[in-house]
Amino acid sequence: MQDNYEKKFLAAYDTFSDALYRHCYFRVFSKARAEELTQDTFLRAWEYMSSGKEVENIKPFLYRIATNLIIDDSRKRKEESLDRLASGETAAFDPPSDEHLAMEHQILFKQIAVEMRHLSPGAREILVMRYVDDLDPKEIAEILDTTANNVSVKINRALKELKRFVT
Amino acid sequence: MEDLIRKIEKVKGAVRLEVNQKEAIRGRILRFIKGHGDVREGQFIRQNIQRSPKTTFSFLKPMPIFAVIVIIAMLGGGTSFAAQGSLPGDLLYPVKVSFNEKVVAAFKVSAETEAAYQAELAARRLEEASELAAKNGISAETRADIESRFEAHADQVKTRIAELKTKGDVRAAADLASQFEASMKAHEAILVKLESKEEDIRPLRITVDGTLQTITGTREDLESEIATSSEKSENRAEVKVAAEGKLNAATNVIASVKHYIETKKAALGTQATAEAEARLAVAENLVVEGSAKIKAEAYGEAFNLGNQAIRIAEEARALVEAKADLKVDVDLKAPVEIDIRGTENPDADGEVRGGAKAEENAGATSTKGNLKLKLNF
Repeated sequence: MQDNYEKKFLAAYDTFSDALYRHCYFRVFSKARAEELTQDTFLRAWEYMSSGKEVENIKPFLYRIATNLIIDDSRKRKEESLDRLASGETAAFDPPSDEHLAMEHQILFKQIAVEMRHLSPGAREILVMRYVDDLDPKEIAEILDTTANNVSVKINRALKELKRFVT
Repeated sequence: MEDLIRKIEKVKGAVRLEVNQKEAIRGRILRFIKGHGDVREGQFIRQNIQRSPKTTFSFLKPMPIFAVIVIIAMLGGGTSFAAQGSLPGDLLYPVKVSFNEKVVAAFKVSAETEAAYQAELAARRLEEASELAAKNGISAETRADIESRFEAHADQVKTRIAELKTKGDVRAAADLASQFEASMKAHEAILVKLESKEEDIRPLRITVDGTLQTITGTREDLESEIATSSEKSENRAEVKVAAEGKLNAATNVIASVKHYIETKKAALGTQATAEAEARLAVAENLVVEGSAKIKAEAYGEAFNLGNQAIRIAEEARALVEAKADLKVDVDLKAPVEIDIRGTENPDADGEVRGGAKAEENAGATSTKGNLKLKLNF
């Protein structure tokens, strides 16, 4: 039975690891950190689940863990890499994969990182969930432990915030 | 405003985990899962890595590094978890939590661990291919698939070794290069043998040969750097300790392989046993040379000799495994070379990479007498 549990968990990894990595990358803009965060997410999820606690829907559960880890991670690092990015130090750019990225894409990533920096963490979080992860308000509500309505409000607020900083 | 969203739409498809990274993380998670409930961590994880009794090839160090790390992590003290990520509700008990911290830290991506892990995966792919070729035959499709996976892992090994070198951790880089070289040498020799009866394996053998050449060159470069940099006075004490440790390790590996040969004597036959033991004799000689170097305060050279001794001992082990498990008589003479740089031209400079290796004859006796290793150029 334990064996089944493990199989299901690893299947969840196979299914969701890419999406979680993408989420983490668009929050921290560092391949290495995003990889570590992805790994940590699953390790902690297992910690929780292996203590016998049932998780009904693993997808929002994983996103919730990732979200919390990102908050802690950024508290620790004070967004130094984004600072360097904003100041124009191109060496700080850590592309999401080692595969060759078109120049155009590299530029876009840097721009996205810089623009995101202008937003509050809450706004970043919700915009990534909505536009990177393509989660619908109901799913996001489950992750953030709130209502779908509230989520729509958050999204609008975030978009307004974005408007304010666009030159 | 939509501008940012549009930009995100454009690039987000390109963002995903690389295949080998995804697999690496999966492997760590699996080990975490396996190690989690069981008290006998080292044993558990070790059993996990040796996949089946038949294919217990381990051309790398006997004790998987990950097992060691986890054990050390388990024995460490706790760290405060209170400050860290909050999950809904109070889920993790303090004991479990501090354990978690240490174990997760053990799994943090470090170039060394990653290199060793990728090297293990690379070796495993070759073991699979060898076993298929030896027993059932291997289709071109399967071979191509295994080959591309192998290449991905081998590339990772090289990248991480380069990373370590850049960071200044030259000895760690040399260790990894040395181990990987021994592994590739052994596998290449096996594939050469298998090629004669299973031609489809040839492209893979050629790929492995290329990898072997590259890693040998890398290892040689690193060793010469070690030999020369240990001259600097500020490094000396450090290198001395490393060299002594390395020679100790070599002695242990030799003893371990000796014991292994004993257990396999029945399956080996007299000739294979004699050949394996001859190699161990060469390895022992190198350790003696290394000790002499330490007395002479040539610590970098001693370190390199230690690694060479280990390589040769591991070669002996690999050949025994090939004979015992795959029933393949690997040819000691042909591609498996022992480089004894300097025996031909002790005063020649420069060109020692990839080319000037002395071929070893069946008995190690011919090399015993003129073991003159020159590592400084």
